[in-house]
Amino acid sequence: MNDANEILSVSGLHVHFPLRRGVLSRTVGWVKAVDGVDLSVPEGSTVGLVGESGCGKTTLARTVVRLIREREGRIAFQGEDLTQIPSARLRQLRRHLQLVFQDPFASLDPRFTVAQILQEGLRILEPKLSKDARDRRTAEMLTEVGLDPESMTRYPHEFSGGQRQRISIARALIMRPKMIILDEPVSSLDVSVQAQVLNLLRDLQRRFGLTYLFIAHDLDVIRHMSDEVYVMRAGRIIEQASTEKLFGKPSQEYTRRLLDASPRIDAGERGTHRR
Amino acid sequence: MTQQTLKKGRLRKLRHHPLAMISLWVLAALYMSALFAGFLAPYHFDHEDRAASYAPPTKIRMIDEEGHLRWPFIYKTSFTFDEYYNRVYVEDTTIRYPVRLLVRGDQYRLFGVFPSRIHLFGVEGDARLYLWGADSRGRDLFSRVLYGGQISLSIGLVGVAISLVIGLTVGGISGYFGGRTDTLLMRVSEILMVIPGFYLMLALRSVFSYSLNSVQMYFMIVFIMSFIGWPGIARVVRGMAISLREREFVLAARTLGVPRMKIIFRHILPHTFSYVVVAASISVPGYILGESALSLLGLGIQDPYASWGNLLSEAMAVSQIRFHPWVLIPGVFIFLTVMAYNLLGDGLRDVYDPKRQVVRR
Amino acid sequence: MAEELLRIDDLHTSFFLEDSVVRAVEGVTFSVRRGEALGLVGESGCGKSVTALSMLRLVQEPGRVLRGRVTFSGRDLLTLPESAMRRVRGGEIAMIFQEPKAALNPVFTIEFQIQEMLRVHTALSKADRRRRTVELLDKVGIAEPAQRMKDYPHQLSGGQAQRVMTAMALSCRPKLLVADEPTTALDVTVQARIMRLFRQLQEEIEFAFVLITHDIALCAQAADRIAVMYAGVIVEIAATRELIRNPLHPYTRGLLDSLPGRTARRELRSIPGTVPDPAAKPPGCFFSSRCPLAEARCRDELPEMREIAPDHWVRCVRV
Repeated sequence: MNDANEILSVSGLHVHFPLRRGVLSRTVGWVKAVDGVDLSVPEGSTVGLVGESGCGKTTLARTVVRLIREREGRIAFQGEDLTQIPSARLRQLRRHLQLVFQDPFASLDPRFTVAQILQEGLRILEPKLSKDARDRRTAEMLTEVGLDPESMTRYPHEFSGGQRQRISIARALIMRPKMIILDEPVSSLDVSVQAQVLNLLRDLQRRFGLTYLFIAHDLDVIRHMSDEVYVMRAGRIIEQASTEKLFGKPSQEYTRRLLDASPRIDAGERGTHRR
Repeated sequence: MTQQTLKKGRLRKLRHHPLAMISLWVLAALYMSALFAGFLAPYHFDHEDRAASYAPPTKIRMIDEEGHLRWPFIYKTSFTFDEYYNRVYVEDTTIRYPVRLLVRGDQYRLFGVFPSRIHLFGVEGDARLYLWGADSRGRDLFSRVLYGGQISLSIGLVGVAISLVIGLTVGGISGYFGGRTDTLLMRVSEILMVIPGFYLMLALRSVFSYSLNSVQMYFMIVFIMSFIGWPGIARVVRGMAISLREREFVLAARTLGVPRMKIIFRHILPHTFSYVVVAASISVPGYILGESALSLLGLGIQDPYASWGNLLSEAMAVSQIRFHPWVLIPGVFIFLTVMAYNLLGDGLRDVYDPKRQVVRR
Repeated sequence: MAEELLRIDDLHTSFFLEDSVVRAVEGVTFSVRRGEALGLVGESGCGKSVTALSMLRLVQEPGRVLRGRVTFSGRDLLTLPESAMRRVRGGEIAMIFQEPKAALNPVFTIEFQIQEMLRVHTALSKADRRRRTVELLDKVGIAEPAQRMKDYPHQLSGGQAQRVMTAMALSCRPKLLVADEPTTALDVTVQARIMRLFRQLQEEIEFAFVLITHDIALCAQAADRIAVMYAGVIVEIAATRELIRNPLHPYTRGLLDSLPGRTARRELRSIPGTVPDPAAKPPGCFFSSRCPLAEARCRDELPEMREIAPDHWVRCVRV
C-alpha cells in the first residue's frame, strides 16, 4: 500500500517503555505499548484507528507527532522520515501535522485567553506578523470553527466542552496543516454536541483538503467518519479494511466481538424481546 | 466566571480568616512606617547625643508645674550620678518645650529621593524627645527602629524575590528537562539543603570581606539568604513541573513547536503561582530572622546603620535589659512581623492550597 | 401492569452557591414498577444523577431537596427518620456508581466489604454470611470466588470491580437497584458483559432497575421504559420501543438524530447550541433556546407533561 499520494506512512513502529522497580530503578521489563505497527494514510482521506483503552492508540498518535521519542521504526510524513531529518526541517514539517487531544478541559492552558492559545503557534509560524494581522487571522479561524470572534478575549473555563474542543481544533487549524491526528476528539462530549463537532470536522476536511487520522473507541463514530479503519489491540494492528468491509464482514474474531458489544439502537430493543 | 472574579473570590475567602486579615493590616502598617521612616522619625538615625546615653523614654506632659492644662510638652533632662556611679536623669522644669507637629529638624530624603526637613512631630530647641528612650550613644531608639524597619523588612522581600527567581527557574528547568540536567541541579540543591542553614550562613559570611560599606553589606546579606533559600523552592517547583509536563496543554504547545524555555515560563511556572504566593509569605520570616541573627552577631548591618537585628545587639547583656528595658523594643517588632507573616501565610494557604501541599521551609 | 414500587412526585433540588442558585432538578415525576428496568437518559448536567441522589437523600450541601415526594413501598422517603432511611439505603434500595474503584475501600478485602453490608442489613450468622458472599460473587461472574474474595480492590480490573460492586449492591436482596453510569468508565466489550449480567440477574432475582446514563443506545438495549431528561425536567417518557420508533419531543428526536452510525455516511442532524447553564435557563420551556419547533408560546411557560399515547408522556406544546 504505497500510493503516490500517501501522506503519512508508519512502518515497523515499536514504542517500548521500561518498567523500573526498586531504589536503583533497575529496568525489570518492558511495556510494549506499540509493538510493530504499520499504517498508511492516503492524502485527503480519513483513516480510523479503533481500539479499547490501553491498546496503544494514544501512544501511537503521540509518537507520530514526536511527543514520545523512545521508539524504533520509520515514520514518514510526505515522504520524509521524521526520525531521521534535522530538527530545523522537523520544525518546518511539524506545522503540517497537528494533533487534537481528547480532553478539551486539559488541553487548553487555563491561564491563556482564546487569542493567546490560538496565536501561540502562529507566532512561531509567522513571527513577523503584526498584531492586527494576527488578531484578524484568529478571528477568521474562530469563525471557521463556529465560534464568535468576540470570544477571543475570554478564558477556556468560560466555554462548554464542545466549544473548547472547537478552540482546540482552531488551534491546530491556524497552522494550516495538511494533516490532523484526532485523538478521541469527541469521546468526552455529550451526544448532541458530539454530532456538531463531527459535522464541523467533516466540513473542515472538505474545505481545507485535510487528512485525518481519527482515533476513537466508539465504533459508530469511527464508522461515521472513516474511509478506512485499523483495529488495534495490545499494541498491534490486528485488522485493517475499508469501512464498509470492516463493518460488513469483519475478518477477525476480536473485531466481531467489538462490533457485537457496541450498543446499537435499532438492533436489540429490550422492549421487543421482553414483551 | 472570569480570571478576575476568581481572584476576587480568593480575596473574599481570605476575609473569613480574621487573623490573616489582621496580619495583613499589621504588615501594611509596618511597611508604611518603614517607607515614611524619615518623616515619622523625629531624628536622623545617626543623630547622637553622648550626654543622653541610655536616657529613658521622655515623659510627655500636659499639665505644668502650676497645674494648668497645656498643649503636650516635655522638659529637658540632664543627668547626675547616684552612689553607684550610675547615670540618673532629672527633668529641668523651668522651661517647657512643646511637642510640635510638622516641625523642622534633621535633613532626610523621603523614599531616598526627595530632600526634606519636615518631621511629623518633634521639639524645637536644645531638649530632645526620646519616645522609646535612647541607646548607648544617645540616639533616639524610636527613630532607629523606624529606620531599622527599612532594612529588616525589605531584606525579607528582596531575599524571597531573588530566591523565588532562582528557585522557579532551576525547578522549572529541572522538572521539565528531566534526565541529567535534573539530576545535576537536584544534587546541588540537596547539598545546600543538608548543611544547617545557620552554619552555611556563617560560612558564606566569612567568604566576604569583613569591612563592607552599608550597601555592599545589604546585598551580601540578601545574597547569602537567597543562596540558602532557593533549593527548597526549587524542589517543590520541580515536582510540580514534572506533573505539569505531562498535561495535555503542555503537550499541545510542544506539537506547535513552542521552544522549551518558553513552555517552562509560559505554561509551567504560572501554574505554580498559588504555591509561590503561600511559600513566599511563609518564608519571609526566615530571611528577617536570618538578617537579625547575622546583625546581632555583628556580622551583618553595621553601626551607625540600623536594622532590628543590630539594634537588638544592645540587649545582649542582662544588665542592659535590667536597667534599660526599652532596648528590647526592636525585638517586639521582629516578633510582630514574623508572627504576622506566618498567620498571613496560614490564611493564604487555606485559600490557595486547601490540600496543604506546601511544606514549611 | 405491575404495581408501582417507587413513585417520585414533583421533585425539586437546588444547589445554593455563593452567587447563584442552580436548579438542578425542577419538578421530576416518574414511577418505577416492580421488576421493571427504567432508563433515565440525559446529557451531562441534566439532573439525572441529582434525581437519584435526591431520592436516596444523599444530596450534599450546598444542595437541598426543596419539595416533592418519593414514595417507596408505600413510605415517603423524604420524611422518613434518618435511621430508617439508612436501612432503606443499601437494604431495599441499592446504588452503584460510575467509578467502581472509587466506591470500594482500598484498605479492606472484598470479602470484608461484602460481609460488612450483610452484617449491617441482615441477621445472618458468620458462616452464613461467608457462604452468601461466595454465592454472590459467583452470581456476578467472578471466577473462583472463594479465592478472589480475599483480594483487595486494586487487584481487580475495572470490569471485575463493577461486578463486585454489583454483588455488594445485591447482597441484601434489594427491591430496587439504581445504577449511575455503571459502565461509562469501562471498555465496550466489558460494558456489554456487565449489561448482560444486569439483565440476567434481574431475571433471576426480580428487582426493579433504574439505569442512569448519557447513552440512549445503551438504554434502548437495557431498559423497558425510558425517561429522557433535559435541564432538570423529564421531557419524555415512554416504553423503549415506542420512544425509539416514535420519539415525540424535539429533544429526544435531536438526541436520536445526533447518533452517528445509524445510517451510512451523511451529515448528522445535531441539536444547535449547547445545554443552558443550569443557573440561567431560558424562560418557558427549557429547550426553547435550541428547539427547531419553538414558537412564542414556548417561551412563556414550561409545558405540562401530557399523555399523547397510552403510557407515552411528553412535555411539549407542539406535539
